[in-house]
Amino acid sequence: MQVRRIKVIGVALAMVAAGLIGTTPSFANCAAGDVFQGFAGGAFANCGTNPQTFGWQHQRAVQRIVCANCTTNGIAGVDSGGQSGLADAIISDDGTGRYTANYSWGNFGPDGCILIASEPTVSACTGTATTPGVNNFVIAGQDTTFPNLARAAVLSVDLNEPFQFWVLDQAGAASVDGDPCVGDASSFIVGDVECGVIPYPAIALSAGAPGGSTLTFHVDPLADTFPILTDCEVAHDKATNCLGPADDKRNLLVGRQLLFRRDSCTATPADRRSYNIPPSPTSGTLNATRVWTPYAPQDLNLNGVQDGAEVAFVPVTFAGRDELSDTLPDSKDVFVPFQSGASDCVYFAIALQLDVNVIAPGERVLSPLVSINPIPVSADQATPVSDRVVNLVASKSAGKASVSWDTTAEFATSGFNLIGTKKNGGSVQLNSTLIAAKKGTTGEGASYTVSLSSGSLKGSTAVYVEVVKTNGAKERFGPASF
Amino acid sequence: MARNMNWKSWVILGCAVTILLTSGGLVLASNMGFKINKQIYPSWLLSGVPKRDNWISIPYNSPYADAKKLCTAFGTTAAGFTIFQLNPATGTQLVNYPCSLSTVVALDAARGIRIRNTSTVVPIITNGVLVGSSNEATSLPTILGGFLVAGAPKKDNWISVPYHTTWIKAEDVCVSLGMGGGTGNIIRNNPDPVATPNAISHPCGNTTINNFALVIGEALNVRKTTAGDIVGKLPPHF
Repeated sequence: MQVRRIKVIGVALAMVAAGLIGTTPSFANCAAGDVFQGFAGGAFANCGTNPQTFGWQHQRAVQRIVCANCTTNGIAGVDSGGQSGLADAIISDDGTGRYTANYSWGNFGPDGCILIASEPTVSACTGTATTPGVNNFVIAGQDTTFPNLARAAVLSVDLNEPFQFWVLDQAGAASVDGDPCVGDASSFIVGDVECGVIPYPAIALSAGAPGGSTLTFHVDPLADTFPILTDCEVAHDKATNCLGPADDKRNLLVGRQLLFRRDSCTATPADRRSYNIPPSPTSGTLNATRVWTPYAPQDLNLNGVQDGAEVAFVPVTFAGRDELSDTLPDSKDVFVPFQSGASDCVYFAIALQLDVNVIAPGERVLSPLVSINPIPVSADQATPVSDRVVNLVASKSAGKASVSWDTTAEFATSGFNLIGTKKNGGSVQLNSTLIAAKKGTTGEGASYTVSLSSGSLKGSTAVYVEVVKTNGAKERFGPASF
Repeated sequence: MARNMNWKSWVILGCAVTILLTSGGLVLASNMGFKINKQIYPSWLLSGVPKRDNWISIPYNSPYADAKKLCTAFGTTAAGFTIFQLNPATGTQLVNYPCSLSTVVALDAARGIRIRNTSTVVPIITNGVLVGSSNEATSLPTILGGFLVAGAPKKDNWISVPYHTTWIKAEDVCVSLGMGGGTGNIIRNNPDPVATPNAISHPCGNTTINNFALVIGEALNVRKTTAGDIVGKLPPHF
């Protein structure tokens, strides 16, 4: 009797176990959902190096939090989490710097399931009432010529209902027959999506203010060359979800967000990401780390957190592409508080802020890379550091040597000398005539590269850059070893 | 030396030669036997899916008529080692069998089989030797059309691929099934946790996008978005 009871219990337990396993979903993050690019051979072009991407369900991203297994509408939103670029195979490089996006929401890493929230309309193509909605995608890379600038492209596509996946090539495509279930479903752009520049925040003026300085930032709308492409000409939801302005029908661009980062005064921050988003954890949630923080003048200790007696932060954003639609630089006076005794500097940058009409818990998205103003602002003085050399690099190979550096704001710079130093302590000037300043007294920074033959190093193993001021004073920076 | 070999050695040698010739793509007898040492990635975690989801094919003629026999082939009776087949009509399990059971649950050799191994029983199972041959009369399971993202995994048609298939790339499957552009996609899942991405999807009709090479011993997921089922398709093979 007891043996039989044990057998019955054993079988029951086994059935329970099998039943539990049977309820396990096939995919953790999302049961489905592929995103393709390249239907007409196109890719992302001229996006620079070190590309980073971010994909999200329209209006429902939470970029700053990733979760382990988000299949419900939680605090981590619906976005692509730590999967962000070439290393994650979200995009691939064809070897010429053209990037193609092909990924699946079913892969580990996306921290939200795009099936969490469906469009409220019944599909005209399939007749189903639960149709996943719009996916947005932003790619950003580092400009190869001007590495402080980011290049970006923003795409937005609805689910291609006949295909049942998202086709990024439909962003920018023209209508063929007005029917998203037939001809328009197969309408793709021909050619590449060309990335364009995210402008940087130029410091046009610096003036004293109680407790700090007022910096006047200019952001040039003529430098706004990044494209925003939607599939609003061919999408199923064009009547309900394409109501934005003609050049941004999905209301993607909020504006250009001013960001800051505190760092060493001697080198421009190398990390150009807006966020450092960690891989999805095995359980629970993880917060992303802000590499660059939205700048708010109310942040009196410049730590990015409202604390002490600080009032609510109002981050600085330059609205849209051109606030006054006048093609002139958008201008804002921004208070920067003194950080008395601080030896570090404050750097400013611009990221694109995206997705205007978010739905809770969704939040606005920042472009994955930022454009940096390389001129450091002294945290102690709250003014741009002037007439200094930063990012000094020396190199030597195959009988040639090279010295490169950047300058902070040139207000009183006449030119530069290169001073070589030898192992025995001696020094020698390597240039025969003064290297002229590019900006001199304009308050702008510049980049310099000087090539030398190995012979002209005269035995030098390292080099200083000597700034010659307009009043004749000299100041040395370095050294950098060859 | 040949005289010292017993009949078992000859069988093993024959199998090895068969595998070598098969993988070389040569045309041989259509009902050849084969043997494969199939790697299984253990330590499955829900939060890592689809990493370590081992979607495998078994031979259409094989000793694995039921799930228990497949467990035995992998040398395990662990509850954390599960044999799963998806019913694409419902999106739920057709078979979901922990190897700790002793019941007989038939397997459909033409459907893909998912193996998840969470077992910590030592030795951890990381491979199994599968043997079998083709069955000329076995067709693919009915491939259901009308896949919808919102309904997945319903109409996710995981098919078992013959070990000596003539399909080489994903687009070959599309062509063979009569699936042109805009009719669906073919998905492979690479269980290797180091691989990125794990799920690779090829849209039929476009050879420039993810036209991946098939891997012997792996199953494929066919998503047909257009209406109409594909019934009684015999998979091509050497």
